[in-house]
Amino acid sequence: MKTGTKIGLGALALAIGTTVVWFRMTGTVGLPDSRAAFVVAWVAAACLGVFAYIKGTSIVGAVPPALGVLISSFLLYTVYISPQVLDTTASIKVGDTIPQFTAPDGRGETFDSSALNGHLVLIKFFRAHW
Amino acid sequence: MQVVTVSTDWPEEIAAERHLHGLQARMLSDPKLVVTDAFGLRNTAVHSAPPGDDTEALPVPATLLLDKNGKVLWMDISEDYQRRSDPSVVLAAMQQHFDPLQPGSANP
Repeated sequence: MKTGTKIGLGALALAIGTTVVWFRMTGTVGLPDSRAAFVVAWVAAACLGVFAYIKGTSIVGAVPPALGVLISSFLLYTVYISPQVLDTTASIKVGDTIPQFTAPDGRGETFDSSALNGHLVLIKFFRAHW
Repeated sequence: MQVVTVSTDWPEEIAAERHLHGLQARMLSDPKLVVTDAFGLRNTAVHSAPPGDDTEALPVPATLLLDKNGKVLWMDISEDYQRRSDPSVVLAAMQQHFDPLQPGSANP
């Protein structure tokens, strides 16, 4: 096996391993405040992938480093775009009363926020199911 | 206590996915961000979306606790969508803010 092919397999293993840990922690709302370790691991995996080509791979051996670079780059991109920007002059604050609203629910019924009057309420905004 | 969720999912997506959550919550559909904008919780930064999704923007993940008159008692806004409201933080906030309002509470 060519040296580059071995390095490429290492790059892919590092990229996949880091990604699996990432999604396990995400699933349990367990991501640490600092994601530096993940970023370092993905950057390393991407660099290893490129290094594999410099060293030279077989034709089949060119696939793992490409996947490693792709996976790592994508996850790094999601970290890069993750900060939120909120217009805090417009956002609701503690002490405010919520606006009245209506919205369809998953059963095709229209929900009216006046139904919340007289109840303690937890409202959760999230992005979507994915 | 009432639990309500708001997301950009269409009603059909909520119907298809709600079993995943196992929630007895009213899950509301807000793909055009009408409710999100009423609360001022639109994320104006670049956002990721699945391929083919035409959602123009996304809400900032947020959790709000309301009293019986609809006043916000507590809220938690994620600065980063990869960091959600920690369930233990929400539970502690519920104990702090809701328990004193519940008749017969052990924590008056």
